[in-house]
Amino acid sequence: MNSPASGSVDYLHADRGIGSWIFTLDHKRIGVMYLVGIVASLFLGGLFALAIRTHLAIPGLTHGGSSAVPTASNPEPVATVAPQATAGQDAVAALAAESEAATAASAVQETPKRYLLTPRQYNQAFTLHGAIMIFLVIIPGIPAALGNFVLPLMLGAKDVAFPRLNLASFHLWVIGAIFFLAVLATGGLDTGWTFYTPYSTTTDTRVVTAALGAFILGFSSIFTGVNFIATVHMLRARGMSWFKMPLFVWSLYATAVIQVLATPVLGITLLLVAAEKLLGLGIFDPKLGGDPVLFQHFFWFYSHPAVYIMILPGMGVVSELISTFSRKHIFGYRFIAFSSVAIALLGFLVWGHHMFTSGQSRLASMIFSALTFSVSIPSAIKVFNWLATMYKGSISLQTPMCYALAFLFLFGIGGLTGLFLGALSTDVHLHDTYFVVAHFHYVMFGGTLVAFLGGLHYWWPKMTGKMFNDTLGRLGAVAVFLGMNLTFFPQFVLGSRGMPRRYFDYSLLLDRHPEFAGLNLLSTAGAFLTLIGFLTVAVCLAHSLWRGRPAPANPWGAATLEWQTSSPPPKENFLRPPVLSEGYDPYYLDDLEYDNKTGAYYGVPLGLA
Amino acid sequence: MNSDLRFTTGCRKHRASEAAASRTPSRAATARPGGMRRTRKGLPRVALAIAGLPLAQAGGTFWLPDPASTTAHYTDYLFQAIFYISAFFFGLIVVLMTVFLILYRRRDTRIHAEKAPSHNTALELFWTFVPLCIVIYIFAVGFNGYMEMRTAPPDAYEIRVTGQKWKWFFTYPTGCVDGNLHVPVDRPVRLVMSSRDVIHSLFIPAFRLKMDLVPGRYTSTWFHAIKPGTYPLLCAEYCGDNHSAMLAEVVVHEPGQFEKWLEEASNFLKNLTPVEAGRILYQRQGCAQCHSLDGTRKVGPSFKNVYGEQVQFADGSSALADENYLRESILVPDAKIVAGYPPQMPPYQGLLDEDKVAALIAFIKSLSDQHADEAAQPGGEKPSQPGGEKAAPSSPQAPEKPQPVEKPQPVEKPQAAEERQSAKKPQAPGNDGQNDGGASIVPSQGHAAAPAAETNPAGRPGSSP
Repeated sequence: MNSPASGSVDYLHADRGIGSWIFTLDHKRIGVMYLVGIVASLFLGGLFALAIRTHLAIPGLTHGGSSAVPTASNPEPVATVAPQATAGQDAVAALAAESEAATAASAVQETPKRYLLTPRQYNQAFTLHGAIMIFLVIIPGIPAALGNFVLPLMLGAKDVAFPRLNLASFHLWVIGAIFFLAVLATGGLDTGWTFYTPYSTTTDTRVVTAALGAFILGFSSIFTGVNFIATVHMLRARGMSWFKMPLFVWSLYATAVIQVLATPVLGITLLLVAAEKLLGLGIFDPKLGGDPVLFQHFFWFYSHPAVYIMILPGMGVVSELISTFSRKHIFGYRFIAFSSVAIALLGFLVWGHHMFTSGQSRLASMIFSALTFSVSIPSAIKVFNWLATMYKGSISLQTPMCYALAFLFLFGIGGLTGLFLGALSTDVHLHDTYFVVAHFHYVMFGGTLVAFLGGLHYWWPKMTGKMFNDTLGRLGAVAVFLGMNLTFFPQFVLGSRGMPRRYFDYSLLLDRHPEFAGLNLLSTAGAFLTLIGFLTVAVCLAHSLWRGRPAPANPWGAATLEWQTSSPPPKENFLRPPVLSEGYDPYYLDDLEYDNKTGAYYGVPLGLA
Repeated sequence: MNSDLRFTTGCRKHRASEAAASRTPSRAATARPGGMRRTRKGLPRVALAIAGLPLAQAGGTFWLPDPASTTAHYTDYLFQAIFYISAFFFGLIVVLMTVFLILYRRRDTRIHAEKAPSHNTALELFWTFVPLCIVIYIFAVGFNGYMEMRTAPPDAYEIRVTGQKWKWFFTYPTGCVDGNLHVPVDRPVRLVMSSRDVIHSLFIPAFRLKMDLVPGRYTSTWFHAIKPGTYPLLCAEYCGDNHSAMLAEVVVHEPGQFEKWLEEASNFLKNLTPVEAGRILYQRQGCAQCHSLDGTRKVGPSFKNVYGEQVQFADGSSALADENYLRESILVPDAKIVAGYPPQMPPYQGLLDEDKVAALIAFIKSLSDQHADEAAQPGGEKPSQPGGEKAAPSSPQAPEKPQPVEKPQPVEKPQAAEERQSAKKPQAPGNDGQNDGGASIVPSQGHAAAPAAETNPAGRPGSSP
């Protein structure tokens, strides 16, 4: 089973023609197609992020007067930053102009205030950045792209339980993405990704289209979830009991449970928004007799568990990476497995912590705050267990491990800053400020996306059959890590000092808070460093496709089943279905030996027939 | 929103008067929703900002602005506690990670991991319960502070807050409505809040206070300011295009000053000419957010030269902009939509009484080059000054007077400026010094700390007889 499949063609070359991809039922091809779509969405969402950050770099930069931006402003230190002037020169010039104006008392020269984006464009940019990143990238990212590819392999199965449902899920994803593109092409969306009513039911942008898009994407997500649950229950290899499943599978299983239970609520909520907008039903809009806070309850009842849809698979990936690259058995397998399930279940009970300042009752806030803290415990357990896994290991800093360590660092910050937001009195101050923005980017980007990149590098040889250049890979990881920190750490300070999120223009705040300018500039610099990081990653992986050396079956020395078949795997995954004996342990790595010549690990893991 | 910026320079020119202005807020100072620039200290701050020491000023700690309410310390204490707890655990994670990385990195002599247990239930339970205890502590402290922040004392002074895209209205018990939040120091103040359109959120960082304003229901919050001064008040819940300009100031008055301010602010309609009162209403009622005075296009049409003109509507029809048209446009804006503008304005039916509508119309008239002279006697209330208008003996500085004040009207013709001067004439005849003040009481577009504002509140009402 360890040797390349000589009698069978790998899945990439098994069939030819574009139709063999679009209508394939092979989970591996569906996973690869998801990957392509998700990476494309990631770059689109990233472009919006860069637009936002560039716009915020210096208050009042670039781009001439638009209709929405009234012109005519007196010279003023921050308002008239000329593109070529440094902040310093400008401030001095402005002061000079000021005194001049004071003495002359004559008509002051009008200087148009300049922005990269108009307010409407800015609001659409952050809305679409959020909506694309969440619905098209992060939610499907690890489960649908990596999970689809790896889950059946890890279970020793031939495919997922419902291959046609799997394909339908991808097609729905594409249709949902097309709806989002349609929103983009037909006038945009300016509600924020949260669609808060009554703003969303009164704005003239494309709320209905976007809501339908998210509705469809929700079904895509549900299909994947149903499929994974059935697959885990029914298609484990013979001898693979629940506690012999890799932890990534546990995390995907927990994720799938949330997807199936929570996503319908989002679907119905968005349908209600669309119905209110189209038919005038009074559900959320108080003018029609509705209740806007009801929407927030519905929305967060999905969207908070969705946070765990996003982060749990990332934790699963990291569990795999840390064990493999420490060459050591994962520490506390059961605690990690159960903590995934605990997070999934507790995650349903904490949605109200998004609403401490919404006017919900004090009692509700108290209960939600208490429950919120309960979720932090399983996360803490995982972090300590990962550290304990590294203890006395044989740690190799290959690219995937770099991402795993970056995850520990970044998720550490993201998780710990969650304490500020879960606590009632501090959340009242920090809610809806940049502190929250920084916090969830540390979790979603620093956690999920970094784990996604780690997993992508980890399974890349399996998916493509090519090894990437490890030095370039590590360089990309370092750049993403540094860029991410530079972008988002200053935002903690911005937020706790009082800069609200979703502000098109913070120059009005600068008088009281001159520090906002410098912090925003730092953040923007970080965004461009992050871009460099992503481009490095893209170059590294693209290069491997053309020039990478062929990947061995087991390049990293892992004992999970996907490494026991060829890279890339044959269409049917395993030439002979793996059968596990009593002693099998997906994290027992001592029987694998590294061969310097081939750069691969050989040996059959304990308990594998 | 940028109009706000433009308005600020006027006040900075008169920096010397700022301190006084903040202590003795005048009507002019009250009229502007969204002024946040009063306390600029000028060069030192700018220099610090340039020097890359952006956090070294503005008081407060590295993380938090200066606290200014009785409940702020609950937040600050917990913030610091969590900060140190987080710093400890984060340090622990990073140190362990680094140490393990160094000690246990893979080498030729160290290909295999050492033997180590793959689980240890006692240890794992230990690091389950330690965080559990810590989060219980954090929760308890947070809950305690939250209850304090949410439970208003029964004797609190009550102010109604209304949010509307993209402005704040603060209604005082006298019925006076203002765009800034004026409160007495050392007295609990309860805010009863609602929104006229979408959800807004009242955020006062210095008080560590935030509460949403939800349409269709009341929310409430309270605070007890401990330091006189002005503090930024922001909208924290995204509410559309001008969300980031939905700003106001909290003016915490010195003992005894608040009552004085309220008295003056409540009686402006009686004490001022309709044009001046209209200008104050223009600020207080939030017209300024969407309608410029200088012909600039904002969300809605400019007030400049509207009166007496033929207006084109979206449905193709047109009408003469007379008093009735203006009245209808204020009270029922959707009745006729001006071509090229979105039907965005909320109706003011029931919100403005006849006197206020008349004052606003008089003010709009005064902005018309052709009809400005009619503005002085809209309802025939004010004695007309035939001939006196143009010949009004302006003080030597008269032509430039409006300049610092009426920033956004650079295109204004001198004639119009004179009109305004003359409109004030009856009130301050021959008193040039007063006139100076008079020009600026009309709360310039502007800025809360309009120049000379502080000289006025005393002088103005007294000068009418």
